Amino acid sequence: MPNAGKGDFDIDNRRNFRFEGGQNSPYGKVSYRVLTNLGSGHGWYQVGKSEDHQMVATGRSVEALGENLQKSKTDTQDPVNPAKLISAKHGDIVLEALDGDIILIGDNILMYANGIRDTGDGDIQMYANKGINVHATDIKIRGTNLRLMGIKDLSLIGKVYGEFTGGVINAVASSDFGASTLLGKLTSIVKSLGAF
Amino acid sequence: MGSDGLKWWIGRVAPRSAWADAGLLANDKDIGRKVNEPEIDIYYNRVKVQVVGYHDQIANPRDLPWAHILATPMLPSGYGYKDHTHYLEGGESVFGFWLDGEDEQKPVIMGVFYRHKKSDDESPPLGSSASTSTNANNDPPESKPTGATAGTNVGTSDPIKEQRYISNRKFNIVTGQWEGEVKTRSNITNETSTGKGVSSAADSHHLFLKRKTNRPTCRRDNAISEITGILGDFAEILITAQQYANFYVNGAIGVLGNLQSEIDLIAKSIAKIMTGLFNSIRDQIFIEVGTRMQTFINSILPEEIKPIFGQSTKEIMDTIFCIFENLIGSLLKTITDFLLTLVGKFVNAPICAAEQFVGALLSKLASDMSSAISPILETLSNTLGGALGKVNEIIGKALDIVGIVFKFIGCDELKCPLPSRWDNSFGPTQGERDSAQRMFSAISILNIPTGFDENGKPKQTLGGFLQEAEGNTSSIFGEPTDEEKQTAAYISGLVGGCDSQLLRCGPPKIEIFGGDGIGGFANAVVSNLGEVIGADVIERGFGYSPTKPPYVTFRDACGNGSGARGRAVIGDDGGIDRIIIDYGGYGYLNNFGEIKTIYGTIPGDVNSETANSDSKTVTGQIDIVEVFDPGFGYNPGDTLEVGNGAELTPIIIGGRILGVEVNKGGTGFTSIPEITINSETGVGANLSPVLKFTDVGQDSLPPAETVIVVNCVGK
Repeated sequence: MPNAGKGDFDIDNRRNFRFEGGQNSPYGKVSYRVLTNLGSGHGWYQVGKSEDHQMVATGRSVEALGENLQKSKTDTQDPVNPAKLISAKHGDIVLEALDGDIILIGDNILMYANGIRDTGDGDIQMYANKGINVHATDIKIRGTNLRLMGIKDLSLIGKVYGEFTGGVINAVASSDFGASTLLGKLTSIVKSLGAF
Repeated sequence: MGSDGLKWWIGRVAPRSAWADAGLLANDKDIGRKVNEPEIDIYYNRVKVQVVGYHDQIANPRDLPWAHILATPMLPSGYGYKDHTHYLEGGESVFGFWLDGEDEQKPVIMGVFYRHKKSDDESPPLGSSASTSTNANNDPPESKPTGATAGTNVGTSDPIKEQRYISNRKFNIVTGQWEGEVKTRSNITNETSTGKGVSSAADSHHLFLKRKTNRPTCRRDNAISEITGILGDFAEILITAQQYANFYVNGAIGVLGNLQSEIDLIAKSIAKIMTGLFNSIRDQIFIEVGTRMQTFINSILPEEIKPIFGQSTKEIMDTIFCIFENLIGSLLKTITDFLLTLVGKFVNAPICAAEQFVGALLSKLASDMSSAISPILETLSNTLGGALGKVNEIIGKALDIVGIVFKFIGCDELKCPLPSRWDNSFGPTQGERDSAQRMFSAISILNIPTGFDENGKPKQTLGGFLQEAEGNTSSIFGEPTDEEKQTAAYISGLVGGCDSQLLRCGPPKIEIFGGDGIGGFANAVVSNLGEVIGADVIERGFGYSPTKPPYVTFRDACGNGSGARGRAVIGDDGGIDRIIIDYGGYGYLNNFGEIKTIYGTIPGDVNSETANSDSKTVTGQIDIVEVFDPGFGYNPGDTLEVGNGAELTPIIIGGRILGVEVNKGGTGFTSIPEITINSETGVGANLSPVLKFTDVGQDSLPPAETVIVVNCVGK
């Protein structure tokens, strides 16, 4: 039984909502919460030294921010001035839409993966069940190593001008592998070096 | 007045309809109805009252006198600040005095007697507003199913118990009589519904918060792990879902017809995972076909026709790509059919069940895939003089090495942790990487009996399942036959394997994972009040780091208990020294007993008794004391009290309690005790004792000082 032997809980009933504190719940001991008759509400729940914030809106949750916030920006100066800051000292930040889209819109969208090698961090990974579409005026992909692979097809098209430049250019159909004794040997050497 | 004392009275506030229309309340449900009529005075500080011994013979409540309400000066009273109103609804027992002394015409209400939330007297109902009769619920009684036998829980076929007993009768203020039947009542914040002291609104709130999320892996090899979790969610929904005639209700939040939408969402979640799997299979087929064709081209084709041949091959591969797109496009319906077939046939979703589920899905989809692309590939192969080999080999190989394609683009170099899941009610759990071998070998489909042999034992056949998966949903939610009911005992006797048809309800199982170490095992110590009060560490394990302790999760198979959270403290040798309970939760069992099966809940069996016999009797002692808040203003002479022979000394520096020295741990603690701080000056310290448990003989201490700990490791 929740609250058995615990007399130190608060309840303030109103007709349409209710304040609570001190009760047990599946999410920790209620420090404070407000509930509506339909189960919406929010509150803080104590687990050890921490207090979790839990919020339910059976419909939408809308935050309208920054109505009177000053944001001065030029081409060279754009000091950070958040209208909304979500900063987690520890732990992950997860955004999940089970039956909807996640849409990010802004003047600029920046992503940094600042992890360190000790914990294997530092990756930006994107996976899509259908497709990834990148469309911009100027697209630059630069890496120490750059690999492109089409499981089925690969097309690289320069409508006006195309250029491939490399220290050594090796353009060959896979079906020709082994046709040339020299190329076969070179491929074996490269494979043994672990480049692929 | 009052110089020679006040004259007191006790009475009852008249039904709301006798005064609400003439004394409009500022935050009242009637607001807006007459507020724009200037001739109406607004009295937010008076109600009509029936004083005992004075107005007993007044039949019409409108003839009762007005009573003013004396307010507290701690709240706004209309002088220069916003008005404040009372919360009297009618029917309250109140206490007051006569403002006009011996004339006894002007009652003043000083206070109200509290009414217990579960009392069910014949007082006028709260919230009444009708002029002639009232309905406490404002819901048509016919709109809700009632009664103990009105429905069943879908997952277990158990009859639904009546949850609420609140009077919903109508009070006729003209006749002064109650009318109507006792009915149930919808969710409301100030009534209890579960018997656990939790309001039905809080029940709904807790259910809404019950969310989980999976961490994807870069290999996309977490299909089984994710689907295990999703099927577990599905089983949970089925167990709580209730059937009333043709309607299905989410038991906790009382939403009609929600089951189909839940199934749709679950099917969609699984379809997302299966889409990823199918993409991998398609890629693997392209790789396999491409490799074989390259060999053919290299060894046979003349240079001059290679481009032409290549273009033709591309067109064939484009066709196969489209066939896959169509197959993927029909995943959702196929999975929904599968799920509907499972309704009422499983209450548990172990990993092996998810493997079988995915195996069955892949079998069916692979069959569709094979029949669609085989003719194309065979034609191509024949054209090439058999160069592609057997088409089934290609498909089989693609299935076997699902996910391996990611290695080609260097996934090994990416961070790729094991699959994991976060449950908002009990924290993280660790998953496993997919085992393609197990996935494809385990296609006996959830051990679902699709019939019974001559000995009454369930037959388990893939064919029957697939037949049902084709859309035969006639048996969904169907009542089990007498023969099936008789097998509940048989089902309860099953141990191990892939038991998807039963759930053993027992103490929470502690899972210890992460933190680089291995081998830590512990049993939860559950008080007789259902709270986790500690953990009995069976194996300390090794290799753990004090700075990166493992996660500790309390899993309750049946979901009776919830909320317990803990953390491990690691010693210098890399073993687990202790597990600190940050929150004990509630509702946990401390032994095995009840078993939920697809045919209903049964009280227990021989296996439960056997499991319970593997237990020991322990008593709690204070091990250490954690300082949650050091407070301030404490003096060196301040002391701590906790009882049961324990002696604690606070370590006070700068007026703050920075630590507690345990001089004697005491004995006989069966719940986490509260520590009393004896101080005349200090405030705010919050100290939390951590218990350790000592094995004692069954009769060496009084039962009130011991707790039974059932061994759950490996069960």
